[in-house]
Amino acid sequence: MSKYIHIVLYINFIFAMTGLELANAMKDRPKPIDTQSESSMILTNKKGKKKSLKLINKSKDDSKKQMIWFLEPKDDYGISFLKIEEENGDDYMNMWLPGFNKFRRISSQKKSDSFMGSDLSFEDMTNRELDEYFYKILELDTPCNFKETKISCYLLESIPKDKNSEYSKHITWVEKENYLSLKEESYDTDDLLLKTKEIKYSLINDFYIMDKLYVENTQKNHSTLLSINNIKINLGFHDDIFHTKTIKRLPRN
Amino acid sequence: MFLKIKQNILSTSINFPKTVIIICLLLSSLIISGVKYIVQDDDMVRLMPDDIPSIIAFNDITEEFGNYEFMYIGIGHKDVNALNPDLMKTIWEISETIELLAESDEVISISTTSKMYFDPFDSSIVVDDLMPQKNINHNELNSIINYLSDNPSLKEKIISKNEDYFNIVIRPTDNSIYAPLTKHIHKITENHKTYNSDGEIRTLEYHYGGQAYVTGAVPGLVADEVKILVLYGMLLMTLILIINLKNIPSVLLIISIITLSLLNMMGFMGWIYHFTLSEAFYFTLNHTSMPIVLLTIANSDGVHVISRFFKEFRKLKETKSSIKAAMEHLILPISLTSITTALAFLSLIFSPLKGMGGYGIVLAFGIFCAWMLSITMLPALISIIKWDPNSKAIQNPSLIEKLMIKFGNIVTINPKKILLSGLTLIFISIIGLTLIKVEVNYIKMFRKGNIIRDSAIFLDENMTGNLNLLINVTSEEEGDLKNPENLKDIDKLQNYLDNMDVVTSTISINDIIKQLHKTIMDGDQNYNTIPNTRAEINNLFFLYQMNDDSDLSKIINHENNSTLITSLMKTFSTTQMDKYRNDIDDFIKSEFKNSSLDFRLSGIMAFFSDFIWLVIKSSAISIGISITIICLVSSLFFKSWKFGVLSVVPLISAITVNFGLMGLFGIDLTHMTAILSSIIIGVGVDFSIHYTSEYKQLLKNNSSNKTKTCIDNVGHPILLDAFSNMGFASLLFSTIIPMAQIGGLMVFAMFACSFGTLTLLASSIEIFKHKL
Repeated sequence: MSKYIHIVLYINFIFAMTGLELANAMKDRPKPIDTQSESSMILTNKKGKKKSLKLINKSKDDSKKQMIWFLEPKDDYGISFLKIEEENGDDYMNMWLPGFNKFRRISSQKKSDSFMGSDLSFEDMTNRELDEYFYKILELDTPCNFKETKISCYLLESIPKDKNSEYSKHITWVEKENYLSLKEESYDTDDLLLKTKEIKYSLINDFYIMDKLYVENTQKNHSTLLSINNIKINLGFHDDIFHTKTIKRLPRN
Repeated sequence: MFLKIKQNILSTSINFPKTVIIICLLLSSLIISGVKYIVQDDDMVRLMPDDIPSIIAFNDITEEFGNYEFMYIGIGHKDVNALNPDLMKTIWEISETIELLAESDEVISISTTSKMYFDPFDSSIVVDDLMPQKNINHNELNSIINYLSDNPSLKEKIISKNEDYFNIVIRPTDNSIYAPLTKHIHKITENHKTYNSDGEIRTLEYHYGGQAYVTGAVPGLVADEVKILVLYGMLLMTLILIINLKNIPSVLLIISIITLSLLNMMGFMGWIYHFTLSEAFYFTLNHTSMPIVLLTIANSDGVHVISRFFKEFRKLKETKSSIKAAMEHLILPISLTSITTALAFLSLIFSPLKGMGGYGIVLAFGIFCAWMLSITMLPALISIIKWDPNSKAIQNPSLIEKLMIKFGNIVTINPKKILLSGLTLIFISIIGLTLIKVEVNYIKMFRKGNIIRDSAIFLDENMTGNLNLLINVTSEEEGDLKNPENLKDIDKLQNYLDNMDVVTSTISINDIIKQLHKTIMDGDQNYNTIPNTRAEINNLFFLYQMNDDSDLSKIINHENNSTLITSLMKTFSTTQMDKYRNDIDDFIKSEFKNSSLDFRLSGIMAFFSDFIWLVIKSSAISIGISITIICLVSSLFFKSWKFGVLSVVPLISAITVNFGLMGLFGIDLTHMTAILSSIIIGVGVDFSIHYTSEYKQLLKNNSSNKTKTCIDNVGHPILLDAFSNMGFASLLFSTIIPMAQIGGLMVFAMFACSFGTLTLLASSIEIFKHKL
């Protein structure tokens, strides 16, 4: 009996998915060409005090092109942000400051900087390119750690190749059926847990689209809850609209 | 009833001495075992009442922005440029190790500071580490030097004026961990005694300071010194007693009673803290005076018992009947002095200083123990010792006794002259009372050469000083501190503070806003200002909060309606603090009449300024209540209000003369020297009650020449007690100035109390004897 078990395990091992293949499957899962949504962000500091933000988001090509406008709090009304990811990694990030009537570029070197005071850094906002990480599957079948579901996950380790990364590694719980990442732990350069993320999705026109993201910075005891509403997909955004001129004005719809 | 209790106590102590001794020792062991629960603490803020404005503001500041008391470490080598990669590497390592301590909340140094600049390459604002890594090259060093030159207000906070020392500023997590944090810091710096600079080994100099450091380091320093000096004081006291009593066993009996009382008191302090967990029973810097106060008071009971016993033994030649006769005579005055003194100390519960209530309760218990042991264990011990009726000590009157016989004659012959000279001295002293200065600044309490004082002077001369003043600026409306008009008001106040001669540097939210404004306007120095519109300020806040290292939570609250202006200051006398505080208050009142902002002063300078009045108020309240209690209780016991009034005459005169001469000779009143009033009351009441009690007895027996006999009978123990207490002159050798002053003033206080009793009280009674 034990002999058979060993054989099954061995076959399973030979034909099992590799880390890179899993990352590729996650990247290749069906996604809309472009999206538009309204989001609210609740930031909670270590004293439990909350700050609410409201924003409008337009993105294309898996968020490689993205524009964000701030509606609330009223002090930040009209501040907007444009990001265009380049293949060579030298991303273009620009910010419109209506108070000064000025654009200011955001240095792509400081990836650890916070996105609008939230627990998401610019590095978190950027897509993970396959060749920029070492991938390894730590477990092929692990509970996804959610109370309401009993689905099982892959446990994927991603180690950034970039020495300037704020992280030493990410460990991601990847749902097996649709390759959705449901939970992630990110470790700092001292290999200490820095952030945990929990993600929820909605099914819109056969696409699984993230509609809730909870990020907790365990070192700063600070958290961010991002809720995405009024999601519209495949609106046919032209590449040209992702431009500094566009972010100077709030979108009409 | 009192007579029945007195007889029962006496007969039990004398007839069953061993049982009484064993019971006393067993009870004492139980109480003394509480010593292990004593908690040491020396945060001055804990002494302050919660309802004074500077403390209310400080508590709000701590709750909103975290702890605002700092420790400073100056590190470097005199006249050697500190801006070199090797020393900076050491600063990096020290800062990093301190940051990892659980007791440290924040470390500000060259290695942890951020720089903010405009990057023309991609026209972005960059907030980055000033020191990019532990080992920096010469290009990076030059970049740091240039940045510091362009930002002098940052530079003065992290490096000395001559650029030869770095400053590390540590913010402890809270005010309960200063002592362990101080120890950790000493250990860390000990591991970096030298550093290697271009192949040359250089020895590092360290200077520690700041209120948090002083609070952490002083209790240990004071406790160690007081332990030694009190021990010397007791040895000297023993020696004086031996010389006068010429009998070692009798001296050992007195010492054993006072030592046991002291240990009982300390044990009680531990137990009462254990059961109540009240901060009032923490052992603070003030409590270091407790042993001295109790020893002087407890000594009095023992000296009176032994002196009277010798006097009776000389007549009766038999131990039991002699101790019985002595105790029958003394039990009333000893009880009365103990009750009045204990009540006087209990009156400290009305003191506005928080810890003083606990101080009074614990001391009252110590006095109670000394009383109980003096009327039970001491007679029991005396009755089991074999005394030689033919010994010199018993047979021959001592020098003081002989002196008292002569002195009694003088008072009887010239009572008016004696009273007049005493009153003249009191009148001169009253003038001195108006000249007394109050000094509560720790730094001024140490002699030159003491590590705390020297480091404080170093930090004053080379860094940003040791003191601070915090101004909490608040507004009712959320977000009001983004209003440019309000920020400009803060700027005006900050400029006013910067121009004060004692202020070395100021810090506020405006520093960051101005720096950001300049940076966003492409580094143009003309924009190192508060922007004119709220929209611009909102954008600057937004930009700053994007930075990973940005943390405004220590300087402005979440609702943006409460912020802090911190003024760093050189050490200066607390006598001037009221003036500076009033100047700032006046400026705020005149300049911001119509402002929506509220300005509240706090921090060390404001505490000191409030503390001065609290020390004066506390002393005045305790003296007033004590004297009233003593007068009332004495009137009740002696069944005569006249004797009640007479019993406080020596107290009032001794207190007036003592504090008046402090004013005349320029000795500052501190929260430590203020305890002298307690010692004077404790000892003075003893002397006056023994005298009045003896006189009342002579009056009852209708004796002739009562004043002379009274001085003859009680003058000896009074002077012996006073002389032996002068042993605490050993405190004169303390490096803590108020302690040394207590030593010197102790001698004077003993002199004032004993002579107040034997001259003023004796002559007053002699003059008004027909009306009593």
